Amino acid sequence: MARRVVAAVLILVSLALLTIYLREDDEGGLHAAQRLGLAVLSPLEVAGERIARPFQDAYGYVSDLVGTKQDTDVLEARIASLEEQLRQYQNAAEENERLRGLLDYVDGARFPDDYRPVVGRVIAQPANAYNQTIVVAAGSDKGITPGSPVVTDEGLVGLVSKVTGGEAQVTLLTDESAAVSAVVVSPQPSDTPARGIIEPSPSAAGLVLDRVDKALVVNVGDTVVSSGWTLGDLSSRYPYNIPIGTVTSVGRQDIDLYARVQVEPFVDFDSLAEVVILVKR
Amino acid sequence: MIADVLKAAVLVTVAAVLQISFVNSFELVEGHADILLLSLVCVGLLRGPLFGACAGFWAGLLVDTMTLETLGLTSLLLTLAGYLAGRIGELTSDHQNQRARILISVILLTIAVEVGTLLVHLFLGDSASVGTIVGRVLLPTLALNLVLAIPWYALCRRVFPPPARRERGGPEVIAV
Repeated sequence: MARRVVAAVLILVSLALLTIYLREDDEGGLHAAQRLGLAVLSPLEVAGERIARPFQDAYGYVSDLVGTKQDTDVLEARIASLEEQLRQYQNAAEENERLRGLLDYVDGARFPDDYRPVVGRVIAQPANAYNQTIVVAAGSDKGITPGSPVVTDEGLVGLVSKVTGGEAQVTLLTDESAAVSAVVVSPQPSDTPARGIIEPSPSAAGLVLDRVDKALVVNVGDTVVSSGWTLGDLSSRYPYNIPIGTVTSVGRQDIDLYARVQVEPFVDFDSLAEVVILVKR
Repeated sequence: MIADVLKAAVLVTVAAVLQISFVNSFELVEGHADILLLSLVCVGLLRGPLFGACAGFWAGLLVDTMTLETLGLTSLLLTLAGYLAGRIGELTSDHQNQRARILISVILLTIAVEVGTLLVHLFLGDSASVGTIVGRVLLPTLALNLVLAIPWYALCRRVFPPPARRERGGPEVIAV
């Protein structure tokens, strides 16, 4: 009982102190007593503070280290984020440049008249060296049919081999099944330009222009374009004058029936990102 | 009895000085260990509610004086805390698991004091975000108090050794 009374008295005293303290001004008795009490206790506080100082310094040092580490983590995350952004911007700029090139090509004089362009993003690269095909994100819903030629602003890419509703498989010129009728365009035009068939080179990277008459003039540096022949109702699948590549070497051996013409393609088949599929109007 | 009063006064005074000049500067988030409250809990558990209430009142006066805060405010809270610690000590004196008894007391009284402080400040017109107080002050303080509770109790137990118990059920000696 007594202890409850004591506790109640102490609480009442606390409340009384609280009330008086809040009601009186700074010069009041309790404020003065508090200042006096502080003056008495301050040496203890000072002593405590002096004892604590080295520990506080050590704690502050460790805290600062932790803070610095956290700052470093934040900055590293920010750098990573900005680098990612930069990569995205660079990709966008490269894509923009590629698309601008395609647009210039589509709007330019080199684009064949009888076709309309369908631009497709390459969504699958060649799976292996034996299967030189790519898949583009454009299909029959855009009028693409098997046999549609595929180009970029740099030159001929290949031919559509399979089509689904939204995708098309394109067989590249580097595939062993590819064969394109081509003609050599020389800076010094002759009466009979050299013609042949572009095929993948069996022994080296690049292409070869096969079945070229050894008597015809072919020079290193000449440009090879699609010939786009027509014979009655038959015609080449490729329109005329699509650039294919540049002649890099010409071999005329006596034992061969034809000249062997090595061609460096204009198109880099390893880095195709967007292509233009030519759809007959 | 007088020795216990003096020891309690010294313990609380030392704890208050350490709390204000030393412990308060080691913050976890915005909370810090409350060795003054831990001391009151220990005094209350070891010596009962009367000691707890008086020690709490004295501790509150010291804190309010040393920090030039509103006199009586901390006394009010710590008087209640000390008394409650003593009552908990009485109610759980037969409890076998001393650690659980101490930890539960620390949890209850830390929460009570922090919530009480918040309420008193709200009544006095101070603005405070309850979520911030709970998340940034109460929980870190509670965690630190729990870490320190057992060693601090062991220290206080050396200062206030438990009174020797009379053998129960032993033969009564009757003077003839």
